[in-house]
Amino acid sequence: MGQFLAKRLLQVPVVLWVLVTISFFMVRLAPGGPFSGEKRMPKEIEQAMMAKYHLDESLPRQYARFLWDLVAHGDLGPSYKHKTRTVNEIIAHKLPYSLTLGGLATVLALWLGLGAGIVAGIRQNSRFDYASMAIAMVGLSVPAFVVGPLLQLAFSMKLGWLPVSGWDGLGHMVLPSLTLALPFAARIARLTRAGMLEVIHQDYIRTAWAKGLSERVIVLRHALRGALLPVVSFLGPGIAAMLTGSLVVERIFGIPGVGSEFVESALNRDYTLVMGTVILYGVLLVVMNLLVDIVYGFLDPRIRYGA
Amino acid sequence: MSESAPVLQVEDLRVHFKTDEGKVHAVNGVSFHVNEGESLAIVGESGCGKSVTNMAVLRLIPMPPGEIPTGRILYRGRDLLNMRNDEIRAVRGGRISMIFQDPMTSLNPFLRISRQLTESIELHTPLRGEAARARAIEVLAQVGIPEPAARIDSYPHEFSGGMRQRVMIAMALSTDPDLLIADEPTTALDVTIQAQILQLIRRLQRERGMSLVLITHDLAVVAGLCTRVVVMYGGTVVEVAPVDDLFADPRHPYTLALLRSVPRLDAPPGRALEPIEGLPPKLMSEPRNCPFAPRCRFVRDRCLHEAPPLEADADGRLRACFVPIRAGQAVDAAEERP
Repeated sequence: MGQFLAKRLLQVPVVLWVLVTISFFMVRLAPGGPFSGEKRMPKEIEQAMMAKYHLDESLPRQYARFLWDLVAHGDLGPSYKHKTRTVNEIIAHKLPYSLTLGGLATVLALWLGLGAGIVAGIRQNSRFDYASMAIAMVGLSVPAFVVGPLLQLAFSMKLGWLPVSGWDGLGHMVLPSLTLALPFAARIARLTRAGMLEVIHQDYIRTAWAKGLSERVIVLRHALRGALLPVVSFLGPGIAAMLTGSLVVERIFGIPGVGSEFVESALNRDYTLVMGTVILYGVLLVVMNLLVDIVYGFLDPRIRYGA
Repeated sequence: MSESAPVLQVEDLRVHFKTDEGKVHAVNGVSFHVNEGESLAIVGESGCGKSVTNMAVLRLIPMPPGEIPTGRILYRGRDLLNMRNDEIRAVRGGRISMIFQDPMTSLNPFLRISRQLTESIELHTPLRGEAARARAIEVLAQVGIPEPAARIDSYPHEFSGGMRQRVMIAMALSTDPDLLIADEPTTALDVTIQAQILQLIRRLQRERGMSLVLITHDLAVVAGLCTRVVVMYGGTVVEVAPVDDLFADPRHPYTLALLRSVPRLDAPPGRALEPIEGLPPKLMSEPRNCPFAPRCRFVRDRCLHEAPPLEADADGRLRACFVPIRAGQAVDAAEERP
């Protein structure tokens, strides 16, 4: 396990370097630049701006400069759009919102998804099974920009239980994290149910019944681990996606998270901010997948690492 | 016939399964009993209902799709089919243990052997914690696992097939059951390992005075291990006899055909094996005739319209057949089908 971990940890910088390199050149390939807007600015000013941010240098030089700043100083550079702030500052300011929202959504998605999936799996073809899988289907297919406003309409406008939008205390977090969690909860529920169905027909579950164990013990001790393997694989990218936030959910509920920056920076050709958000998502994804591999090892003793 | 009350008595058991193609009549009025300390074999080909019958004993038939429209299964006089959930759970693995055909898939791959053993022991005996673990190591030693104290914390995949079946047996016996039901315990194993496992089961059964039900399609296994045989065909019991009598003097055409289809070392060289022609019945409807009639060489008109009941011959041998058979021949040979 230790050897496996060391190997995987060594891979992390390589994966991230490839990610940084590819995305660096891809953003530059897109037509336009950070200062080419609707209003044409005077040529001299544009040239001065380009010079200030070293955008007049050759691409390889810019790449080398960016990589050096990143590796040596952990500096993602200045934002071209938000001229008074660095990318580091922007991310440091906005990430906590997204992490809180994403963390809550993760907890909700796991709780709803696992609960519904387990019960639906062991009570196959029951009313609960049909009902929860129908809801999961809706959760998967109805996008957040429909679910969010509907929730606002019901719980904020009609019932008046929760605030419509904003980010000020627990009450504000309920609807956005629910909206964000729903499609993930649906995926988790369906994966858990499928995993459960496969496992409870295994011979070793029959053995567990023949031992006189209670259904509770059989489900929790004997069946759940095997049933969760596919869910755990999904959770790597799933949690990373929830934590980095969603433009749509942040927009609907007026939350200043990084999700919006992700999209806007790309539209603005705010090269450094694009790189910042891409690297953030990349790091989260790599870390989550590493965690998945470790959890896998704990869940399934047949997996042998290192060889 | 034994004087003492039987450990297990199955009476007129029926098990049906609802499937997309219709209702499968897997078990149709099966009755038999298991005496105290006896080893009973239940023999028959795949799909004859022998496994289903024994799954029903511990109520392990998933319902739905399964259903048990009639029948009683008496364990020491109490009907298992009417027991409350907590009562049947105390019997499962505690009073009656089961071991299954495939040891590669019957142990939980995610849990250590120690966990799988001690959970049974803690459920059915007063032993807890370290005492339960000590008991687990003791039974592993009894089933011939080398260095049980060192190996108890292994996972199933770290054992070979034969060793896993030993672990299954240890698990089944760790709670000191009255009755062990072994469902084809050696079918999935190498021939050399089969003999070891059968010897182990026989030794443990004798040492403990435990009753044994051995489900098998392998007549060689029966001869070495069991005292009495129940032969099943098409979801019914067709013959019941002490093992020596059955081999020496089979009284049901199916038993006869079954014995003739087995290769024998003492047969003259060049003698062809006699397979049983045809296929076992599909059991899609309530049988109204003898289930073996379509494959029977002694078949008569009556067999096609009426199901023969399981009845005693003059000497007490039980069989379900309208045709008297002695020494492999229908006694009134004139009526034999040409």
